[in-house]
Amino acid sequence: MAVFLYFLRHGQTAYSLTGGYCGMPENDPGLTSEGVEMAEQFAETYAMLPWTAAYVSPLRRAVETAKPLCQRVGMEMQLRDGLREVMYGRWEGMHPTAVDREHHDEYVAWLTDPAWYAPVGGERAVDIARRSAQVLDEIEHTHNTGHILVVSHKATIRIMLCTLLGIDVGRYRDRMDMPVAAVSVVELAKRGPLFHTIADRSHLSDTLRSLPST
Amino acid sequence: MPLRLYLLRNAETEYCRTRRYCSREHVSLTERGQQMADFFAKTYYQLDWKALFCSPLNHAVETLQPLCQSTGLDFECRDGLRELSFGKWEGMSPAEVNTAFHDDYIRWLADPAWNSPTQGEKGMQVARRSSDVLAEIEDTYPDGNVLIVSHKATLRIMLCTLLGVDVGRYRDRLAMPVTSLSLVELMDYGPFVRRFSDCNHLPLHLRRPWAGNGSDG
Repeated sequence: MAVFLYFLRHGQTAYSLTGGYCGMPENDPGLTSEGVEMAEQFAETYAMLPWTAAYVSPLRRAVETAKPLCQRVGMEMQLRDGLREVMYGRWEGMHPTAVDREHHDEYVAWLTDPAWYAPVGGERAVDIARRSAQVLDEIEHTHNTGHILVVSHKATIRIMLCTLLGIDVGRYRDRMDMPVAAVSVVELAKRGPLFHTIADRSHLSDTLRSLPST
Repeated sequence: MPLRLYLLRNAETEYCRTRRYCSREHVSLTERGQQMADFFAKTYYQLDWKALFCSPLNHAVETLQPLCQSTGLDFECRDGLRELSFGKWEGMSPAEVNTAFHDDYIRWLADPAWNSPTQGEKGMQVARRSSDVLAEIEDTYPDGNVLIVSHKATLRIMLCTLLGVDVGRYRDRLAMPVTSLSLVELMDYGPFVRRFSDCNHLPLHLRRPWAGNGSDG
């Protein structure tokens, strides 16, 4: 058997409800009660898999999302800085409409190519691609086979998926959706990464799935 | 609401079941395939469909029929949605092709965008003809839900062109089990994947087993 990677975006936070930018360690919200429920429903559905390891972003919302499954199957979390969210610098905590108003030119440049242009004082997508690739590399070298959970964030997961699919990293915001608690499954197959599903949320109840998510 | 493209792969045929190449006419669904088509219709008949487009191959039409029956909607066939033509490999298994057409097979595995099965179609030819259908749909429907029923190679090639993935990588990067559904929205900034290869409309026993989807643990 090959290695199967399960990319899980964290559950709902106050920011994911409103769409505010959030990535710095100083700006580290936990899950809402609905977010905790999402994590529990993920654990409920996926507990039956023979899990091998869990690599988790050290930000609170990711750790809290990984917790129910890890506790249930007795798996220790491997925290990796490479899985953190994009740091948005001076845009941290702001809503896109406010960024558009207050940092208009920089915002347009970032929308045009977030791969090579960073939010003011923040990180470029190519920086995220590099640090997250080190985690993927570690996983590939450590495991020949098995089911590996990777809990991370909206931008970071989409950037990893772009690098695995061979899509320009600068297109990560435009080509795929990644609502909270969504799972994407990629098999590291003989001929490279084989995508089985993107942004699946069938483990969530209709109520949780219908909540707004940015 | 943007234009929402639902891309549906045909349900199971005897060729899919036994993993042989098939792009020919007059192929029927298996009994399981028929059930898959019924389950698809059951989950999706209530959606507000603006139009249904289908490959003219019989196994695509049979996949769509239950939905047409429960909605009373008509569909339009487009040749551009046919399966990639496998030429001389038609009906053969990969192992048989490897023996009988070894050199062509190796070239095709290495780059199916610019190499064709012996006397069949290149991936690029399929990319071009299927893009014509996408352009027609985009021009005709500025918004709404449009269903496209097609085949394993053709749909993966379409997804590669929409996502910006090298067409020559369609076989290696994207899994597409029978009756799986992908949803791509045409947003302000281009094609946006909402779902890829979703099989949640099928009961577990009708999903293709792979080590990660719970169907075989």
